[in-house]
Amino acid sequence: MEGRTKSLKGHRIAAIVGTSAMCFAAWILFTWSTDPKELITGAVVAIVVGCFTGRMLVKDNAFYFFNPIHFFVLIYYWFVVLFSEIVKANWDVAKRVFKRDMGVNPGVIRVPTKRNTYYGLAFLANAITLTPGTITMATAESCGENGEEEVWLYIHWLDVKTTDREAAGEMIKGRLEKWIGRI
Amino acid sequence: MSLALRIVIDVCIFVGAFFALAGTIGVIRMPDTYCRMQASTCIATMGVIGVAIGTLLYAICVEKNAAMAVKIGVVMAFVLFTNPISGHALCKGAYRRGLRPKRPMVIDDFKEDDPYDE
Amino acid sequence: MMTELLIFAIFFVFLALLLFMRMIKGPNAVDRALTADAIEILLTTALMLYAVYSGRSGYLDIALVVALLGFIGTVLIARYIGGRL
Repeated sequence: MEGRTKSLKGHRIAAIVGTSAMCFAAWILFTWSTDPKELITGAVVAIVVGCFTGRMLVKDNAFYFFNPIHFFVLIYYWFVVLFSEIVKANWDVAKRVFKRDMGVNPGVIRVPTKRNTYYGLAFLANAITLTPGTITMATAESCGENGEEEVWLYIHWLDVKTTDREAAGEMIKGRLEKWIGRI
Repeated sequence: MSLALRIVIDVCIFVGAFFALAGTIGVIRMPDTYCRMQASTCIATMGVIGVAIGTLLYAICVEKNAAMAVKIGVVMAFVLFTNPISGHALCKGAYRRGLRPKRPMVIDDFKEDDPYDE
Repeated sequence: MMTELLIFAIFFVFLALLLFMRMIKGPNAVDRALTADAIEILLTTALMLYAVYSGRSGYLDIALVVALLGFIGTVLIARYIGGRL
């Protein structure tokens, strides 16, 4: 009990420090000056914001992205993997818009996924919504036959090519899920 | 300013403008609400990315203004982070409202086991 | 000076005006909210172009505020439509 409360307190302080550091970095980026008055104001505001919102925002390890390997994988994922997926999907939708009959057959399909942490699921849902042609509508959890937990994503798909759920998940998620698993 | 840089900036902004035009025509022409939502994602991703890359190059190489470049990056990141969230919210709100397209969907899993059905 | 920046900014505003057509015609409230979101993003882009053209970074602050207010408004309308506010 003693150790648990202590670790909880340490976790909370780590959350506050991480959030404050992020806020201060954003402040420096946005004001872009080294005037000491501005820096002091920014530090005070960042610490106040961190004290109030640190507990709400951070639920896992607070210093996860301060590790350079995770950070570079995240950068690579954003600028190479996600960007190429967005360009491909955009080109597909743009071609479809200029056709005469547009060839849309929309549908809502349920797709299984393996990610179980909150952040992984949020990343995956945001990436799916950010590529045009697919929008995540909701997530749901259910117990499978063997007792393990299953997570489903409900996805509105502009052009339903197959109604098989596994194959559709493979077509929609593709590379995204693999790279999010690596972060 | 060299001519090559000018051409590169123009191409970036032109790509953004083309995809924004495609998204606009999509919003006007698409048959039902959910499809219009898909087309408006096109504006928010590729239009913003193209224009932001072009103006970022202009601000760095021509104006040599670091604060402006950072602000352009912040605006782009903000739009790209918040657009999916409003997309989820609108799509789920429309479905919970009971809005269905005129032509029936090919497959509709959300209807048979709606997890939020009270 | 690059005049094409200004031309592209005017083009984006023209696209926003085109979207007003759908906003007037839109059969239901979700269409109107969606179109308002798209118009706000187009205006953000036009403001970015004009800020770079005129060399003043004040317009970028306005663009950020427009994007922020548009996002909050869209989420609020979506929650209202969905029946949970």
